[in-house]
Amino acid sequence: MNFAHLVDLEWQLAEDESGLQGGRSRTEDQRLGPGLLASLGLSAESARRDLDSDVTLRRRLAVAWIERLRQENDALPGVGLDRAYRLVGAGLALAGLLIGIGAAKAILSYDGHEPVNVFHFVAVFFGLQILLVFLMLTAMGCRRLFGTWHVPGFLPRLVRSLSRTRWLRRFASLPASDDGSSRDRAFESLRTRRALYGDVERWHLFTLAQRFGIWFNVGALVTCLALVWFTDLAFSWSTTLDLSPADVHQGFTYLSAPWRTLVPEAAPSEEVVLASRWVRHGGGHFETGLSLAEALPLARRWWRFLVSGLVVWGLIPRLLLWILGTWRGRRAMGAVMLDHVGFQRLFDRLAPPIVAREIPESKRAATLSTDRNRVSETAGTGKAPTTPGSRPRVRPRPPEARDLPKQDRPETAPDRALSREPSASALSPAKRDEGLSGAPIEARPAKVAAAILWGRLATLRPGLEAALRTHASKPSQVIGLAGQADYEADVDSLKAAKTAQPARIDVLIEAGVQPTKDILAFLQSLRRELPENAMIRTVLLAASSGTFKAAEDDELEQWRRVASKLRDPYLDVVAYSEAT
Amino acid sequence: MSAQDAPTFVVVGNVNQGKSSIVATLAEEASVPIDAMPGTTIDAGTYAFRVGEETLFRLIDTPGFQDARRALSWLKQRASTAQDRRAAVVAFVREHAGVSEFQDEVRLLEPILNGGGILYVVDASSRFQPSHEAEMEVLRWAGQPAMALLNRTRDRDFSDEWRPILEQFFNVVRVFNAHRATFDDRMRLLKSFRELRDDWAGAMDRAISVLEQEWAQRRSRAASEIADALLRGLEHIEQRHLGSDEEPTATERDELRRRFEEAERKFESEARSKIEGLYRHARLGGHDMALPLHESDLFSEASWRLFGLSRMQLLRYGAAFGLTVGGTLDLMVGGHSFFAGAAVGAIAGGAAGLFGGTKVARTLNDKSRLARKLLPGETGRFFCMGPVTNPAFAWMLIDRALVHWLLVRDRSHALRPDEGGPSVDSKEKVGVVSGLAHAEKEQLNSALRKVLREASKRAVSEATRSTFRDAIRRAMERL
Repeated sequence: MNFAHLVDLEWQLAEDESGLQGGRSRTEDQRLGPGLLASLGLSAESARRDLDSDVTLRRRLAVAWIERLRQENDALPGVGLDRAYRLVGAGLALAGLLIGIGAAKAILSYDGHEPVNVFHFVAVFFGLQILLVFLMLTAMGCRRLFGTWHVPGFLPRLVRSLSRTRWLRRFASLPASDDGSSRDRAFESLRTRRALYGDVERWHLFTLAQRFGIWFNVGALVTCLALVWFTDLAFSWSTTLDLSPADVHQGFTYLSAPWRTLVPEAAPSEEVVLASRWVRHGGGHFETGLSLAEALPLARRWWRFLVSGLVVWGLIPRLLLWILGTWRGRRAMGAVMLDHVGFQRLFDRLAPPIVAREIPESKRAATLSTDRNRVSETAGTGKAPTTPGSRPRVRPRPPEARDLPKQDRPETAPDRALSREPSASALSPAKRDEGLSGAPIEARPAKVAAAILWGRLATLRPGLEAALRTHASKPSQVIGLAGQADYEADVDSLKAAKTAQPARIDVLIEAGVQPTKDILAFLQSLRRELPENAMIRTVLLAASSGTFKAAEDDELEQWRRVASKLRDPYLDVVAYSEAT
Repeated sequence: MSAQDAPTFVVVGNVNQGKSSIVATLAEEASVPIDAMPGTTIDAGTYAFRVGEETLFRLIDTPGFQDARRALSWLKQRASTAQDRRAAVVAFVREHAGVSEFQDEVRLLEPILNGGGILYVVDASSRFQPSHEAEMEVLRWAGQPAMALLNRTRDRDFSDEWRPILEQFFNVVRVFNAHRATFDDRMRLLKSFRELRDDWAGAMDRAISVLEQEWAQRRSRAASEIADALLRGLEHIEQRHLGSDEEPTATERDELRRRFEEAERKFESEARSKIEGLYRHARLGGHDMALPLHESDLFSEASWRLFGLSRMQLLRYGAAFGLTVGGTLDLMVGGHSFFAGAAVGAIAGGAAGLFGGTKVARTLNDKSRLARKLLPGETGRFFCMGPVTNPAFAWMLIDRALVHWLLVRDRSHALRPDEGGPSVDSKEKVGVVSGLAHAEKEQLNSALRKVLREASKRAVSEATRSTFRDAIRRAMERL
């Protein structure tokens, strides 16, 4: 997977999400899935089983998917963006080369009257570069120590610029942006996931900067050698400070330390330093009375020193940093997990999960029989049953396992092995009442999914739990309440989440509740208590007469837009129907 | 009353409850930022109602509560008795002024502590949540007179669930749908503001009286604007000059008709802009209001179908007109025609009304005596179209103007330009003239016939214009 793939993947996922429900993402991807899996030599079951744990498989499938989309849609920005990135790199290289040539020519200008002052050369080509490298390494060190040095959204900004700027769009072969709000939503989505690609962005930028540095030094080096070979140069040093030739020699000795033993003639001797002091008084002359013509042998010693210094203090550090940046960039690309909400949805569409549904004991046999019949109907077609209401395939399970109907809109959380805990309904009435009153609820380990009820939903807990058990493919276990009049309930829920460390936590919120700072702060606190990539789903539902249904689309959209401001790639806002 | 003494009402509530919509509706201020996204209002905005230098009352739109539970928790830690509560709120505002924490709560509490009455807005399409209780508790601690408004932003309705809860906290509870509120709804709400504080009753009565007067004046001015635009449209003649030996071609005739129609559209459009300006809907700026009225072009088939009198009404009025003309002829011959004139006139008039078609005006050339009469100053060759001769078209013009006026009059300022008004089934007549009471319809018909008759001679008298304006005004008073 390369940079262009990553851009296209994020772009396409953002586009799919900005298109809200349905559209290409659900139906076409479900159709594409079996073919893509077959082309990778995978069965749907094995892919589904391994996708959550095998990042290589996720990459292969994602790349295969985006390659397929590229065949159908040439408007994806990845290739164009990659080209733009390369162009920027080439532009920087050219700029570096020209600036290097210009700087070297300016510093090494010699008209036969006043020799080149080596201090100028050393200051610009050694000192300044050493300082810049030092500052860069310091910044990197600070980032490592304090977590600072953020690159402000390079990738999403570039994507947005591409979609909005006409000539950039044309260059990147993007279609005219006919839907600004859709692009903006896509941009928001990308910004949300920036945290995941921070390293990729950072090292790509780092490498670009080094490219400039390398070519700057190459330009300076080539100019320097050209001037040495094709013109006569004279070198000197002069200063107003109270520096003796011995002090200056000492400084040059330090600077030439890296190569002095290898190339002794590239280090100025004390005699050379002494003889090269230039005094401007009286029209300018060497302090020792040497004429410019007599100083030519000195120049041979000096230019070797200057060229060696340029290579050692300028070019080589930049080359090393470029190699480091390239390596780290590749490593960062390799570390992209492709496991955020968008990818989980994508993989669920391409390889629908086999999910569980709890049904009454009396109906289990009949349902199981029906399910198996339906499986046999779809077997061999390579297609997952996608019709709403169609019964799912059933994975062979031990006798005590639940029957497993597939949902039309699959789960977004990792499909890990269920280790079911006693359900909340198994709590004693006293315990249940305890929950209703907002009193602390004992946190029980919930390896798969947990739920927190927000606000008034606490009063509907029994019905909600029953509904989740009946309808949810992977019912989440209620571990706490929040949004109650008493703030303690929030704190207890956070503690419970910390103890449970679930792979996914659903915060169930009633439709009509607004995404206030109060709730957003709770979600942020929740994130701090959970594993880094644990999914937090804000489930919006409307409760009416003991039944629960999805909130209206525009409410979901509002929540999504507000939640995207949290920039949490593992935070999702889903409708009740999606959650179940 | 000085600005300081004027009653001040602070509109507060959770985010996205429709506070700004209520302010926009009451203040008739379409520029109040309103959005479906929560947290659109980030600063308190004051809207003053003034008559000259006198401030009648003020409305303050505030950002919504964002973290009421935590604010209440803060307050509870600092007030052990009821006596300390207001001081705790004052301390809360003072401590958090200028800092990001609780900035929304500070912005909404500040004007309340400065003496503003509380208008607590809840969206009755959402359920009561514990955070609402925290909000109401915080407001109660502020110790100002308070009233609750049940607004609805969606179809869901939990008003019955809300009412008993709100009545525990607020002196007055009212239902107010900001997006559908008419002038009468607004006045009812302002009257209920009187109940908040006795010493505000006088100011509110005065405000209501002034607003009602202004409302009547607007209607009167709107009637004049509509009548003038209609008269311009009915009298309009579009002409085109010809060379000495030139005859108008079919293309030129089409071009003349196109220009005539454009002129009619322009008169209508100008009148609409003026009406929208009168009712402080200038932001509509000709935007469609998602209604057949605006979707249908003045000269479209749909327009004929949707507006104006029904065919039977046109038949009846046409027959009555023909009867009058024929009867006059009968009288002129001393009844020797055995009232055949009246009978023929009634039949012809009725038929014209029923089958009059969509021809709006006649096209005449310079050889026509009528054309020479219509354009007396013209000496060269020309051909022209107008004035309007078709009564059905004239009725349609009146109807479109009245329907537009009604929509603008009853349009809430909380609606954005692209949001529609009431939905109308486009298969049915959407006009209002066919539903007018008999007396108003008769008066309007009589005035209209007179205008058309005089316009055909280009001699609409000032008395006829005045009669027509009165008929329009009277019809508008009944609508």
